[in-house]
Amino acid sequence: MENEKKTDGAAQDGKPLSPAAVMRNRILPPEQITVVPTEITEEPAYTPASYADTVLGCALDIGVGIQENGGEVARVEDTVTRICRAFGGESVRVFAIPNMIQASLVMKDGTTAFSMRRITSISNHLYRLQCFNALSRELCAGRLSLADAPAAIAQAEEKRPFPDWLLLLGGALSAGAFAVFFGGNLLDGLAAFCVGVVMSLLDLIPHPHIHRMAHTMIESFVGGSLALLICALFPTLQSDLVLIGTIMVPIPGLAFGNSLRDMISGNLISGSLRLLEVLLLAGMIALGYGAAMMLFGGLGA
Amino acid sequence: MTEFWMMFIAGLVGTVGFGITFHTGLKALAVSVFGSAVVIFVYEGCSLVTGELLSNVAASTAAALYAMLMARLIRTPSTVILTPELIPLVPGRSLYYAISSMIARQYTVGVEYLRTTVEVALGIAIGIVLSGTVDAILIHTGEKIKKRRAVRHS
Repeated sequence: MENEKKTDGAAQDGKPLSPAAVMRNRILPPEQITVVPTEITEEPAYTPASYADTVLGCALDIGVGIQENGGEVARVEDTVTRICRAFGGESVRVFAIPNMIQASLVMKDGTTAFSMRRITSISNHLYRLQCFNALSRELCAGRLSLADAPAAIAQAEEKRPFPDWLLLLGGALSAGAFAVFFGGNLLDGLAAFCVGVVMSLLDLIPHPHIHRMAHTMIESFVGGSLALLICALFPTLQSDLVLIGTIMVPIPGLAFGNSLRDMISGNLISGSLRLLEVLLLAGMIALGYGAAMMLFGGLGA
Repeated sequence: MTEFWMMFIAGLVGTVGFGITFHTGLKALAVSVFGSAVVIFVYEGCSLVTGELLSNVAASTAAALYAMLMARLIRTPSTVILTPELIPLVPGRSLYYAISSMIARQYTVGVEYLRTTVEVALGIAIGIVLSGTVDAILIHTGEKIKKRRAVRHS
């Protein structure tokens, strides 16, 4: 009798109970609970991925690989479309912006798939971009099966054409060479080379918790400060040319080129986003070098 | 003349350096370095007869067309070739002088350098746009010819 009153949703004093209290009161005492055995079936509780899902998933994984390693948005959309069509897709709709790709696929038999990928980091890894592009060609030509694709994608993600010491040398070479290119002598080039080693080292040290903008500003500040300190120690060096050589290292050349190419191909949203990123990075470089010049600019005077 | 060759070699070495930093594969890197030589020659040649903007337009058009052609030949994305080979055109010098002039409170000079930086960037952009348009026209024409041939054969 008491239980019945409680399940009505009203308390004994006539006040209405809260929904949580009503649910609590509906729990039966242990002696009234009867366990009904259920049959265990062979079928899994989840729906297995359809062929359309597999095709779209593979195409998007390659698209992500291209986007993350410095490819243009137009190339990503084109690649995903081509792979889906090569595996029997009738209607493919792809939309990509620098941080996301989403696509829908309708197969010839009417089955559909929709999927989305978030892109969290974009780097300048042109060799991996080449590998992913080659993978998409292989898939479209039928030389690579869908079953083998995940292993090939994982392999492409690990590819490194150069060891770390060579990457360090590359950054240093570019700083040193551009100091000479813009009118400096070999000594100016050597000074810029030394600063370039430190700047490349900053690039090589993993920095997952530092945002790209902040990292560019720190790198520029360190590069500018070191260059000015070296020029103060060796007054025969032309500080402006050493600084020009080092300023070339953090300049976002690839992002600038991609922003233009995205805009040309009609992807105005992606192009504008990338251009905004380039302008912000250029601002960060200016801030970093500006701060270094304000702090250490008077040393050589 | 020696100065030019020194600058030329430095430009090529700089391209190699950037190519390594961008993890460009060896084959694409070799193609980029040759493209970089083309860029420097076109830029220097044009700067004898015209200003900063047009020289950059000419050099980046040549670079982008070369990259698109070579990308088809070696079956690689044109970005892989174009990015390192355009590096000698990047306006690092004017960007630096713009910053230093602003810090020295020489705003008029700073704005002038900033204008040059934007002009160079715009020149590179126009060059890429022009070559992109030429490439699109060539692809469209090629597809049309293929379709006509297919109709004739059928």
